[in-house]
Amino acid sequence: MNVVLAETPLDIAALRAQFPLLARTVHGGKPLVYLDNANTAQKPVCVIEAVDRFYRERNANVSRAVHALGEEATGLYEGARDVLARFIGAGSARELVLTSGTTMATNLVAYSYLLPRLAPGDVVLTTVMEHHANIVPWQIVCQRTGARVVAAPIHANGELDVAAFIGMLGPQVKLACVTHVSNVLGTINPVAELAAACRKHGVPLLVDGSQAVPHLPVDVRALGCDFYAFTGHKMCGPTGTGGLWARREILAQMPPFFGGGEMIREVRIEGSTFADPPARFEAGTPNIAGFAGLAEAVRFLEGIGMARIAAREQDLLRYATARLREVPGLRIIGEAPHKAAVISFMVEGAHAHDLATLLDLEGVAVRSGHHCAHPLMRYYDVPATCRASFAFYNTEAEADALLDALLKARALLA
Amino acid sequence: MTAPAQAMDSGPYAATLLAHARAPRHQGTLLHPDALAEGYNALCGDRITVMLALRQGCIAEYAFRAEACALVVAAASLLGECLIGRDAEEVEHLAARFDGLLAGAGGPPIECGGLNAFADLARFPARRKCARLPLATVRAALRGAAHANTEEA
Repeated sequence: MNVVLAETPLDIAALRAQFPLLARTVHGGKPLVYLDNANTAQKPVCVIEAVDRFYRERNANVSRAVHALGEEATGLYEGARDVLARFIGAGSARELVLTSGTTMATNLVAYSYLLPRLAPGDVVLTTVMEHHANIVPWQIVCQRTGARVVAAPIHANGELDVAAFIGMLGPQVKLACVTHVSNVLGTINPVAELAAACRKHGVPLLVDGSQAVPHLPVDVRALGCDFYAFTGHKMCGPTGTGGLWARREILAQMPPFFGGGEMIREVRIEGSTFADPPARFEAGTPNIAGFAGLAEAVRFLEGIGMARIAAREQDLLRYATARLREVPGLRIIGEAPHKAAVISFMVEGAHAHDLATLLDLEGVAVRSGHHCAHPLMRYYDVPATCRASFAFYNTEAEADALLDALLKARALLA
Repeated sequence: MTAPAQAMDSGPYAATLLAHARAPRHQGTLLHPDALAEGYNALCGDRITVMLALRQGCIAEYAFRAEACALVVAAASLLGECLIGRDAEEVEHLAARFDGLLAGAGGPPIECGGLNAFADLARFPARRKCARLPLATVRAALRGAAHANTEEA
């Protein structure tokens, strides 16, 4: 029996007050309606202050200095690793490589894990709905080795064709890659089911969690995948932060990709020995201030509760979807039953870029274009879409403002 | 259905431009073009094909097909009146004047009156590439190039 616990509703006004940027206006006094959260999220004051405090009070390099500041900086950086590892359900902080974001994480897997394993005829399996960061790194290493990238299809409603994906697994597949949540369609993919199928075929599975970690409770061990990449700036943290989680035995087999300071054990001119993971993959001085901020972002999100965030965003998705359907000629791209609060749409007779420019003049920030997903745009045979993406701090009134602006824009253009 | 509450700031979309975007002139196909080029801005997805008939080095006929935003279509439509009778050198001169207008450089209005409606685009630098695409594609066709884009230029 499911027990539904009564939750106190979120105090959205109090939450919004913690995001200084949400109070600003644009284009001569129009209140900002920020609906581009899938692109990047705004930052609460605790994150901004954590970055500021690092430079004011604690700035030093990590791992080397024995002085007080050095130890504090190292403590902050490693503390952030612990906080992030726990947040995504990693078994140990040693399994979490801190990166500049998802793109660096997928490239690290491409060069360190995949490249040495690829031979002519091998396959990297991805899907049609991936972000370029989960396509292009695989293409680059495939081109060097004679391997190829293939993409599993999706259904017209934006759901992954799971049977087709599983049917494409086989001994020639050296890595399977899938996004947890689509940045264009909002589709939440059944990662645990895919991971189980991959395991049966002995194929490691990489999951792009960029759009999932900010919006859903994520437990990488429960998902059963082998790699999980995510980015900090979409989860209220600073830009230039993120991570790659991988199983300890996989990380242990991976050679270094970037060489330099921090990642070595001993260096001689004739050769060097390397640190254990995760330090092996973290050459050079990292974004210490950024990770101090990201740890604060995790505490902020946990303070609200990821389950409550997910539930709040589902309410917003339902409300905004119903309102957008009031716009004549509006077509929503991506209507999977299980989706996050991302709504891509087109309006008959009005081009996406024209809509976005006119919405912007009303203070409504949405993204227009291909959303770094050319293959998906080609699948739907559309040149570009508008995308409204919500976060827990958005309101029903902002969805109304989107609707009003859309009706005005449509009246002008169509 | 909710009615729009009040008129919106139409930004770069002057009434002339919207009229041309809704009912473009010169939209169609030349069956035997002397020059043809495709303009494609991959980042935003705008696509236009430009066809020219030439007589003694001058543009005698001009047609385009576009799958693009209102600014591209309006620019392609308004270009017609400026292009007919001009040679490549005159088109280069027109392009320089048009770029100046889009950059807000001031100066006297362009003699093909319609294009001056793009002056407001100076406030929207991210959208200038849209207005520039049709003319860039015409210039490509005139020099025998098959493709043009205004995202990297």
